[in-house]
Amino acid sequence: MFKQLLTFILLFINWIIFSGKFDLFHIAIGLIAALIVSLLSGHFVFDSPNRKVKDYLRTAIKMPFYIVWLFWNILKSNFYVIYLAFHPNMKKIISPRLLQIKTNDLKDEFSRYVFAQSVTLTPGTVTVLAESDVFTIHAISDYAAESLPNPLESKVKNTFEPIAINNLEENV
Amino acid sequence: MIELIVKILLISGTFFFLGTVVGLIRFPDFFTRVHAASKGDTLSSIMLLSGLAIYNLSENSFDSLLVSLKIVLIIAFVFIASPAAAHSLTEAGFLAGYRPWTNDLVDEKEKEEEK
Repeated sequence: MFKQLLTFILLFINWIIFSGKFDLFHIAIGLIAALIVSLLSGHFVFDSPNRKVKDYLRTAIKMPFYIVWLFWNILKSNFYVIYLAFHPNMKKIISPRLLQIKTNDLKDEFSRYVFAQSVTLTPGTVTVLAESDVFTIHAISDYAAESLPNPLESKVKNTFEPIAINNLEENV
Repeated sequence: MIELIVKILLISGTFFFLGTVVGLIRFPDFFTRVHAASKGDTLSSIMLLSGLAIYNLSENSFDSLLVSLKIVLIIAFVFIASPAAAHSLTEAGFLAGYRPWTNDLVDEKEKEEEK
């Protein structure tokens, strides 16, 4: 029931921002629509079996720091791509290659997804294939290839990986 | 003051888009072009859109605040969608049999020319 309530609140906030009208009619329609959608599909949104409320809270607290760090990396990667694009001898300084990286610490599907997305946003690397815990990554130059996978993996682990999943492994 | 910030954001956003296009034309193969397209896109659209959102706030009414919030939601969408699109493009290219261009090819060509 907690999941449905959270979904309902998020949907209703979205409705208010997108409609921008505050008369009774529009608010009522929004309430009804958000209620129906959250009852029908509320269990899809926060559905990871490994995540407890504590994990969601931790992610919510650490997420802003992660976003700031990621934004800094996006800035760097943009400057890097533009530096390469305008470089007169560009074909000599790039050396594209495919790398395979195995992540040891990321067990949860969602943190793997965040890892793959973040790799694509960091300077000079794009995720090509993601097969369970092995990521095939296209790096554009030596500089880009050296910057992986740390400290990205540990950052993602700290921010998004549920704690319970690691304890499970230790018990087995 | 606000106008100055907006101008800086819009001009640098357009400059980054220009760099993206130049990279898209100049890079040697499929994968490196996806690099240019996906990365230049994110920052330049974030800059352009946030410039618009700030400019919109200068009207100082509740309606314009709502419009700016919608623009912020578009930024969040670009943030999520752009790397996903880049990943699915490269994955499709990889599965279709493309392999990355390497600059050994350039060296060999130059050696041939020297001969």
